[in-house]
Amino acid sequence: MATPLHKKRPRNQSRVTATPHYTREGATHIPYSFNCMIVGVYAASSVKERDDLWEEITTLKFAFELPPVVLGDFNETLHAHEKSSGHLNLSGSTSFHKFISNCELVEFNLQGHRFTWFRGDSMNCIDRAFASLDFQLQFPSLSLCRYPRGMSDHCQLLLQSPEVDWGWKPFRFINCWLSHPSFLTDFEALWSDSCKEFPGEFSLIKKLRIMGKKLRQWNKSIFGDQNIKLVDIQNSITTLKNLSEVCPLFETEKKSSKG
Amino acid sequence: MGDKNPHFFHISASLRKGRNYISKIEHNGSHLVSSNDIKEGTVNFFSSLFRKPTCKRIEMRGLGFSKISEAKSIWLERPLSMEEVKQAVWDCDGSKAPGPDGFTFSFYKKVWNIISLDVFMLVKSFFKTSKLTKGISSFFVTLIPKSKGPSRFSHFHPISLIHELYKIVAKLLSIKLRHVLTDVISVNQSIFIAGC
Repeated sequence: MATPLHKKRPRNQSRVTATPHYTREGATHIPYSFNCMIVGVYAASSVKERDDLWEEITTLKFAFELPPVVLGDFNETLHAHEKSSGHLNLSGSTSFHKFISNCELVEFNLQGHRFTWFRGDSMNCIDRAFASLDFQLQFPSLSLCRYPRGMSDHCQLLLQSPEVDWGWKPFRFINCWLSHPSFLTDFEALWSDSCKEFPGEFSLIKKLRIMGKKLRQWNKSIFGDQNIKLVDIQNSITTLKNLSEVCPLFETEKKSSKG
Repeated sequence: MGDKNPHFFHISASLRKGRNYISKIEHNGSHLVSSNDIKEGTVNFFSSLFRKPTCKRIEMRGLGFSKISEAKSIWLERPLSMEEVKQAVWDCDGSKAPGPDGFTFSFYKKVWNIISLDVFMLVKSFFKTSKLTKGISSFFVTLIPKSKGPSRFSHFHPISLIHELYKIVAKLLSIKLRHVLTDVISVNQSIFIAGC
């Protein structure tokens, strides 16, 4: 999803380009298609025209009922620290804030930099990217990165999904494992099973290392995926509730339908 | 909305992940972008930060600092009891971030009956030899951003996630020292002692 944001357009006019029913195809790591609306923004330099633009995008958002991604040159900052001068245009930024909360947008934080626009000594952060929560949830690893600006005043921004392999992932004990009814007995069995062979004062370290590996397997085979479990329980409750509409339930069924 | 709101927590977790993600960082005047470069730069920066200073340390001898009595020094070196070790474990919060081996204090408390003897042996051997193996003294350094959009290593606040066993040893030492501190710390600094 590359978005060059440095194209010159007439300064006095706002532009919106929207692509409804954008299907994210060709991305191999996502096993299904996901419909969203991508709104490219080039906001005008006058506050009045920008207000019209915010209204237009808000209308678009509610008209299509798709999770929106709104990105581009907004020609407006949200906070004083986003401008090198520190002076904030209060009326402009207030309506920008309002627009963001009306559309329920969440910003992609710019990685490693504060500003995206440079002219002379002044620096601003006027190029940004937002998306709805649904979208953010669907692509949790997306991050906004800045690239060199070349001849333009604006830096190029890229919304990218880094599939980075950071290497070996250390074991983490999950405290909710402790709530599993068979945790203690299972742990004791695993412990006595594998840990008798390490005598000595510092053997605890070795033993815990082995227990970490064993608990990982235990998590997969016995504790299970909590999300799948939750769906299973919800399904069985719905089945029982549906059944209760047709015929009275047995006592045991009543109990289990209450969870 | 009920008590549980997995959707909300899921979102806050993913947003937090995005905020803490380092995709680019400035180090020694160059911008590191690839994961390998960032890894190398991080190790480079923090190994020089945590290195022992090469200059000689100042020695202070014969300045007449107050000393603890012989009775107290014997009391300090008395053999450790299982009860003390257990107290130290129970004093620690169970849901704090774990050390490199990933085990939390909630785990230690739950399986205490099974592992207590091993823990006791290890702690006792430290008090005898004053040595810890590398497995216990190593720690993870986690970087907490000090500000929004951190762009260099100095914009991060490093915290060390130490081993739970290390925490037990430190706790035991601090519990013991608490009892003799009043003798060695001058009246002017009594504010640092609890209950004074």
